[in-house]
Amino acid sequence: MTPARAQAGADPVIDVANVSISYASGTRMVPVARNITFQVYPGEAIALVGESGSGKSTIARALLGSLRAGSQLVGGSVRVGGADVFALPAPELRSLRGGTVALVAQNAGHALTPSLRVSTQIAEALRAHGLDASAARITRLAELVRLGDPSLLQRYPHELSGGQQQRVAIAMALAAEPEVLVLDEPTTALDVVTQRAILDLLAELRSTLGVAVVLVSHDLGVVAEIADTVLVMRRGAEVEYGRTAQVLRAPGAEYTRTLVAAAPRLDRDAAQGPGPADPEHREPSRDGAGAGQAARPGPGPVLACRGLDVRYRRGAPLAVKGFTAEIMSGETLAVVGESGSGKSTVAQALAGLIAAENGEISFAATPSDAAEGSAPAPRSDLLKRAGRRSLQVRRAIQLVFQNADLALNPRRTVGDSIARPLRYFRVVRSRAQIAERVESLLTEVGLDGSFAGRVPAQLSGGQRQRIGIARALAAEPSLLIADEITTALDVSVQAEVLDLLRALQRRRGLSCLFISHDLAVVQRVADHVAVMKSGEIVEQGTAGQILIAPAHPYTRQLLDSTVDLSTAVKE
Amino acid sequence: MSTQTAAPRQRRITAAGIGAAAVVVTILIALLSPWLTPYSAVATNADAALLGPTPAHWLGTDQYGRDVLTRTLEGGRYALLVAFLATSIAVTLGTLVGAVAAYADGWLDEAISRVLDAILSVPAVLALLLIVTVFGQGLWVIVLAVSIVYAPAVARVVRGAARPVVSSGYVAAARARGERALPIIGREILPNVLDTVLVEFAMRASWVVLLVSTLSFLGFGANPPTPDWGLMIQENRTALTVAPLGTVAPIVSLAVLVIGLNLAADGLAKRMGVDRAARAAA
Repeated sequence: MTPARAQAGADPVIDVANVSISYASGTRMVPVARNITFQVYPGEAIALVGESGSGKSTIARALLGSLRAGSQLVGGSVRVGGADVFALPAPELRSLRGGTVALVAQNAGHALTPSLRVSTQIAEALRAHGLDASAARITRLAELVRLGDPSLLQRYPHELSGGQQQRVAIAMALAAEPEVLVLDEPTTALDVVTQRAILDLLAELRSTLGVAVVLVSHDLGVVAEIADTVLVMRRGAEVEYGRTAQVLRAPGAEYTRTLVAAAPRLDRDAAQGPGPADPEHREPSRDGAGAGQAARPGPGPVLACRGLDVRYRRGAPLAVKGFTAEIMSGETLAVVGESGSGKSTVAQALAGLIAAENGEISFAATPSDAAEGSAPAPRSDLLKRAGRRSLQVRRAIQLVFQNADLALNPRRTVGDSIARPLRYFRVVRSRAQIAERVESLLTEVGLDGSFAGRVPAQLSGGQRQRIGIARALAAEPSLLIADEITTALDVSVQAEVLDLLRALQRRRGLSCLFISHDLAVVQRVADHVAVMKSGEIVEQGTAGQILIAPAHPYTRQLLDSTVDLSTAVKE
Repeated sequence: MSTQTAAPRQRRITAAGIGAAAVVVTILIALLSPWLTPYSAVATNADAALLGPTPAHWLGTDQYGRDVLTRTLEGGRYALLVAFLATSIAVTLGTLVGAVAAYADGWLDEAISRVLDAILSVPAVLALLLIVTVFGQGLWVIVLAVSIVYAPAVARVVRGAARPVVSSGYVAAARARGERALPIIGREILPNVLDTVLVEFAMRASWVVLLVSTLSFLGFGANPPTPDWGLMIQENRTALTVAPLGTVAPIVSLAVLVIGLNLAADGLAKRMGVDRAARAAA
């Protein structure tokens, strides 16, 4: 399985041989990594890929000779730069950490000390390894990571953007000129444009400094972009190990095939029609009750906004300026943009979590409104917070949240959470009917009735997101607002949730406002796309138009920044 | 939930266990005290004043010839009763105010927080002395006074614990449904701060016991001849050289109860994963 690598004379800088790591739980030992073997040569990049809990981070941390409390190395050896990491005495291990191997942690915002200016922190990293910490040296490091304006060095971490924080973290890691850079999900918290910039920086550093890179990621697009070799892990064991292009193009293992198939891919050429909720494929509504009837083929808009202005509090600048868009019955409008573009604010305003300041919103709360074909009349209560809207409107607009972990009350059972909207909106009244409806909703989102008795802590991330969708469906809405619902999920789970959403839309004739920064995901679900920047829509149109032939330079920038598998696979 | 092996767990003696045992024993003694010794706690006997330990009076007698053991066993009743009532009221009140402040998040939060700060800046004993001087020494006056003094501290901790809950998706979902503030606080927020509230209860109780005893010692709490630890220390300290046990016994009893409450509260906090310091600061 080892990728053949004939490098005359060069020794691997990392040699991980048959490493097994176990975690002590009471009297038992639970293996977290089993017989992991790989080598990395100078200047090479390897990616450790797998879903959460696959052991990829554990292996990455082992390169620094660090294990989580309670874990221990039960077999094999980890050699970095020729030294057996777990046999090193403490002083040498300290100089190895940061000296030979440097770690860039997942969330740079948390990894930097909030109370120190970034120049002081970089100086600390230098001094820790007995290096010259002069201002000139620090400025050179900042230039190396393309931090831009040197005055940024005098700021505190919270005064920097996410991308700038990540650059500072990389500068600190590079301070002692390490041979190996360990990057733990370096771009997960960043939006597409920033992610692109960081990936470009990493490529540049590899070629100029010849540093070996160990990348931990679940994002195959990022992996394809950076890594020469890839090690796919699952439940602590190796699934597949080989050259990146080969593994991603022709996966040998079934599990890798699923991962590759699930990875969102942006189709940049094909004339993609309105795929998911194509009216021709739309089946007639299955259940006769409530919002299900909205599926009557009415091409009219369910919701239309004109000149919507939103600000968070009096005196603050507008977060959304003049948002004008329509959502057609049974279709999906995706709002895309980088962080801070105001896309989530639009979702919050439409859901009634914040009040809108100006503008006009018309909404077809009942099926008959939608069936008329023309735009429904504007309703002033839609500009207000949910508490001041009519019950009918509140029921017809439902939210699904970004972070499924926080979306469910941990002290209530799943059944309780789903039953709440049923009771609140008096969808069904008797106890028996509620139980029955909860069960049918659970089935509808691909779970079974037994889940009703569980609490969120007993569920996986994907299951929680399904429950979140079931809770929204309980109110029988005509419009579903999905705010970055797949961002926190592993790729394979992400694909399942998107498929579920599409199926539900078809079956129930649901319209959907889909907020996302991931254009590959958007292409999978959206009929129309609106691109936002600094609170304003810069371009909107059908998904085909926007994603294949964008007119606005910003949209083109977003598209070019999107990292996905297509490059690796086509090569 | 956490993974635990099925193997039979060893019962270990923990600090929290010792603390809980001390509290339970003290409460039991306070409840059963009338039946534990043959003497009355209040009847005086001039013939037997200031005796040392004897087979008849294990801890001796005080200046009025009352059995010290009897008075010590019964002396926790007043402090425990006041502590239980006052802590219950303070924690209930504080939890509601804290949860409302966390949910309001705006001028109302700001207003509540500043009022809490103002109350917190007044020294507790001073405030209590003032209230007792104005309204008298009745049991309910002291209970309410102690509650008012302690509720702001509870409110602040609960507000800190409730803030992350307020920004969670399930609260947003309830708001988007158009639910009103009180049902949201009751259904979605309070169940998620219950752990903090329980730990607060145990912790505050120990401080209230001390505070009530302080009041009695200063002569503003229990009235003579009621047996009460604070009062006993005050009465018997003049005879410290002649019959030291009359002072030492209530001090030890009080210390055992307060340390027990503290240890039990610490154990409870650890068990429930509540970081009190972090939450009060939030």
